[in-house]
Amino acid sequence: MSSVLIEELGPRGKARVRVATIISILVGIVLLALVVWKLGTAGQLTWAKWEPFTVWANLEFLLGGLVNTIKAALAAMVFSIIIGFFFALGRLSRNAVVRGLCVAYVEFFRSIPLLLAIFMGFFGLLAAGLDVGAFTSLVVALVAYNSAVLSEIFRAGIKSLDKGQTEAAQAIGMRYWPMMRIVILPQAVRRMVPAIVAQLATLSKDVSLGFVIGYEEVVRRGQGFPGFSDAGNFQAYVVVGVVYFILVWMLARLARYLELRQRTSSIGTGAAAIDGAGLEDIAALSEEADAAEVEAAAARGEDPDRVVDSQTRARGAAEEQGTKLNEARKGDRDRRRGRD
Amino acid sequence: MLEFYTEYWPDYWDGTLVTLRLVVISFTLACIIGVIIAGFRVSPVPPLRSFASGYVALFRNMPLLVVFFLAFFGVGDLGFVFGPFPTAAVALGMYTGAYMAEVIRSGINSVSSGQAEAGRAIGLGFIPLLREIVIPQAVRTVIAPIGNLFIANFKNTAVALTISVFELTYISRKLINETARTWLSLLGAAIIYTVILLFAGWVFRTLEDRYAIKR
Amino acid sequence: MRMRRNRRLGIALVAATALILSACGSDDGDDGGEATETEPAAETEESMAPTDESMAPSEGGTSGGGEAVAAIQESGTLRVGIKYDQPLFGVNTPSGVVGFDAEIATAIAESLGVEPEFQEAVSANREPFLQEDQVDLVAATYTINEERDEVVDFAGPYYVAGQDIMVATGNPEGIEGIESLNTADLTTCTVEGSTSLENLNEMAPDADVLTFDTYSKCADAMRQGRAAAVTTDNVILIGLIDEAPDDFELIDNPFTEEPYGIGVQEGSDLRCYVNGVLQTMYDDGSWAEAYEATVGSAGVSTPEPPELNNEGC
Repeated sequence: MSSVLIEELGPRGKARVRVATIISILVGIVLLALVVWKLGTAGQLTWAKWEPFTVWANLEFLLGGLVNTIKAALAAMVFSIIIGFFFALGRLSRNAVVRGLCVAYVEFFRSIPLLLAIFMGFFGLLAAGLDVGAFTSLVVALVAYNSAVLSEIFRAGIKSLDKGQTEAAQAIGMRYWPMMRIVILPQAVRRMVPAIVAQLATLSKDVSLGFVIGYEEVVRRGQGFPGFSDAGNFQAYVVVGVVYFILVWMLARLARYLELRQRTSSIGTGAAAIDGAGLEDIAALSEEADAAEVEAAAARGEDPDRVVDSQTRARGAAEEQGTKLNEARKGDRDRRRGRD
Repeated sequence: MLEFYTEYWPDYWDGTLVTLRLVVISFTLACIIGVIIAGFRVSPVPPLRSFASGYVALFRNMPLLVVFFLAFFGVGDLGFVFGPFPTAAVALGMYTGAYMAEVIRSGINSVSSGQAEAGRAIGLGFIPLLREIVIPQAVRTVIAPIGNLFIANFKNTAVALTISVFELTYISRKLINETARTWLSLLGAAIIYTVILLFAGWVFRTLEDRYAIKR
Repeated sequence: MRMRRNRRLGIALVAATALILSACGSDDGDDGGEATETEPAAETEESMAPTDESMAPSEGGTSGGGEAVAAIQESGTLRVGIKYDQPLFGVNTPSGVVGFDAEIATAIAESLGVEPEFQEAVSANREPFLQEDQVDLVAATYTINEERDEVVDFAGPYYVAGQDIMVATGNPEGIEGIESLNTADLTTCTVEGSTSLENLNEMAPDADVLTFDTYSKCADAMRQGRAAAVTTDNVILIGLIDEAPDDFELIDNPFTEEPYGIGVQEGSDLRCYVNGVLQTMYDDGSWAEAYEATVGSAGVSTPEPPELNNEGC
């Protein structure tokens, strides 16, 4: 927890916290009881209303929606990465026209709601004579929208590399593309992997908006339940929420894991990797990481420039902390040795 | 092309007003919720901390669309029936509030512990410490992320059309059907969003340049 | 039990899909294309309505027929394009395609002395189906309009759909027709981007409107007391009422007209033959029987059959 604000409490403080704990638990119980009571009197807790979600055929139907969600998210991710990458390069280009066009594209798609982009992908393409169906429409819209977001993450990732890397590459006579391919991208991409996975989590949430053009994703499938079973809206949306929660939570978890792994590996440089970078260390680091990740999440899609800034900041802090941990552990070891 | 916009400008204007109203109300709510939940999250009382992290996890891992449908149809099934606009404002406020809480918490964490120690040394209690020492400093580090949240919140208002709030994106959708001039209808809304959000971005950058702590 | 549930699921799914599709497209009953191409309400008026001048009595009866009829009788099957997902008109169930369209098509096949063979017709492929001789006729909530009449021929009309209003059982607000909705005191629900919405805006500009993406959400909004009425094509409303006969009822006062016809290939002699079959069905009461067994099961009264367009027969 935030060590900034709380120090070791004295007896009176401890007593106060204890009282507050008891009161808040009681309030919590009362609130929970009220909710349960309300649900009960509204007839929302009867087994019949939840039973449809235990029938395998129904679950299969719902999970089919989940598969569709993931399919659209992955397809959009792959194309967003490719296209976003070119827009990132375009924005870093020395040609003012190319740069201007890329800036216009990125700024446009970053300042309209995704729903509007989806309508463009569906109704817009239809009006242009392209009847491509909900899936393609949705993916096109997600790609247009996310490639703009990702291109900013890429640009920041490329720019975050030490300038010396470019200079060194140029010094040994590398041209633009070889330099990008051999020197810049491998480093930049490695740094961006966690951000990309986190973006995938956001993207899978965004797929739910494909709902408005009739794409059969989880929400669309889920909301069908009241039509063919005894489940009500409440049950349907709660279950859809749970399905989504699990999906997004796992992706966010994965992003966090990748980020921490990257960090710990960069902390324990060389052979002297953190001696048994155990779970506790990672937990300690994750507090820091959490803050950064959240800031990133909040900013994601808005100003990745700052996201990466803040990530680098946080990374610096984490590295510092890691070093401290290392030192502390060394001290510990030394002391132990002394005792031995 | 211009005739199109002069003719349908009133529609766009109505939609823009609804969107702006929704943004103002939901974002204000998000700020309030964010402060409360962040306060819970850094409080020494364990149940409050658990509640706050539960709240944040819940809203961060669910699509806004599901939040809206739950708030509208789900809660409606429980007998609590509110109109589309109030439902959208509260649901969006609660959703953005979760992100806001995290931004504020990260801001609080960014204040060096020496500051809090100094505050305690002069005898400030938990609340005055937060109010006098930590929050004023934290606010400065979170201007940029809050600006981004504002923009995200602004764009998220479009989702309210799914529960029958006639905001800007809804208007463009409606004009598609009424005029069959798809791209003009969509571009009208897109231009309005772009103009407002570029302006908002500029405002937050200016604020940041002026007040943010440079590191 | 499990079997039953699954089957129920299947039927409900097609029903749900139908609602979704109608939400995305226009909802001129049978659809008629995506919402983008909707050329608002005007289309409804100018499009069809049987031309009165051509009300010559059917001369064909069930006996007439030329080469197309002969070819069908030769092959022994009548290939029918039909909706698989339109509740009460054409729904594909484990026991075959059921609904009003299916009844009509089966009667035509019987009259020809052949077996009907159903193929799924979605809105977009109905004309190509006929033009490329994939099917002999299309009975798929197929609205007769000029545009379509240029590429295919229509027998019928055998049913006139129209935009109508659904209210809570007992009609507590005393809604009588579209005029009753023209007040800010009553909330009316329909689907976004539909012709129904345009018609509502045009004919009841003062109405308080709710819009969602599906009609089932409108039904929910009514159940939760958010809306006093739902308006769209009666065909869709009847489907909703069929699902919850205790909750809703139809005003049965349609304010637009969408005649459904049987599509046949351009210039085919099958058209007059089908008209003859329909006339027979009108006369001997089997049309009404078919209606009562399908659409009427949702508790709406049986209308008078529409007059056939026998021009050129």
